[in-house]
Amino acid sequence: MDKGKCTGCGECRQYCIVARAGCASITAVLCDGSDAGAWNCTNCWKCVEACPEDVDIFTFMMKKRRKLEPPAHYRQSYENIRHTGYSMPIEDLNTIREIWGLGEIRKVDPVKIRKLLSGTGRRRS
Amino acid sequence: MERRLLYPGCLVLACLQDYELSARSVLGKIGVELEDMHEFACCASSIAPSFTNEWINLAAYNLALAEEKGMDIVTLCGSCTKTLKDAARILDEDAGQLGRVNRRLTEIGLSYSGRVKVSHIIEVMDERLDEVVAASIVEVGIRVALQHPCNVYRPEELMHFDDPWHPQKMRQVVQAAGIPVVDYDQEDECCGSALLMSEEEPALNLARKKLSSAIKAGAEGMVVSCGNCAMLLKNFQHKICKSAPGLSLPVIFLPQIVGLAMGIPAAEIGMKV
Repeated sequence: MDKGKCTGCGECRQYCIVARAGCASITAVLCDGSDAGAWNCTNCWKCVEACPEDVDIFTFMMKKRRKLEPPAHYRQSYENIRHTGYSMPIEDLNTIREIWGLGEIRKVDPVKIRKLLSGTGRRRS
Repeated sequence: MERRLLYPGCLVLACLQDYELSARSVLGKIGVELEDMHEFACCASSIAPSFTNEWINLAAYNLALAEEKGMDIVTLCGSCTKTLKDAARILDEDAGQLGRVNRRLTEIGLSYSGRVKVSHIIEVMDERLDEVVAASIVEVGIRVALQHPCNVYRPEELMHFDDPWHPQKMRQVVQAAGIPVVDYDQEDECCGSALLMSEEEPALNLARKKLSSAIKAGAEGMVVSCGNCAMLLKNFQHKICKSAPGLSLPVIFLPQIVGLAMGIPAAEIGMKV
């Protein structure tokens, strides 16, 4: 896995809120080479801000994740996107919007989503 | 009145209607009319890129929808903002990627050339601080803590908005509405919401730390401007408080608190006060 210019200096880990919470984190993946924290990230990007080598940690993390088994919530959210275009269930969307006094929204045609995401969901990077 | 497309994103669309309602009301008061973005889809967020490099097609689809209408986009969540801006920059800088994306978009009758500006609601309100001051006519009477949406200002080299370590723009907007803001030691920390997707209890602990810090500092409410922050701090607050009942704190969306200062009726900003 290409870590680019990462030297494993650990600067990112000092700012990583997941690491400071005592969990395996993407910064541990970078610094220690373990895969355990690849899915544990709050997307705060302090690591990116702190990195002295400007490593593209977002791309590194995403490529790493594509080779690993996803947590159930990630898998379900991606399945929702692939089948409906939205990560959350929105079956009663316009009924709820009417109660709030919001206008009706036309949902995306799932056929369009299938054309945009034509892969199987687990692609090589 | 300037017109822009509202990109609510999945979370707001699915379960945070009060955020959308108040955003429409308040931006209307400062000269921005939000139009519905029919047929928008998930921006891709950090979910789709975790599975496929085709995520950029999804983000580009939303940009192309806006370009077809000839309108810029207003976002409500940090991650939608960052994802759409990231995609826009990639497509601007990489002609090969733009070509590949457009071949896919052509199959569904769209194209993208790079003419759409994406702005989070804080950016829109920051651009119109004078209008916020002028429209704020009511003393709200509560002191609030702020939950800054990380992805609106980090990574700084992409977002080019606010101090990436000590953000100030949301504070300026809230203070422009005459609402007192309290400092608290966890203010510059991420809420931790995305960790709910893989490790729920540690995410709840991060929220407990944040709410505890804000309450100790004297906050009577927590202002958020991102669906993800709201999901953890508001929608999961019953779980947060289950083992720590003293951490109950009203969570209020940025346009709701500013809307109160503007004297907008509670029903028009999704509040029951």
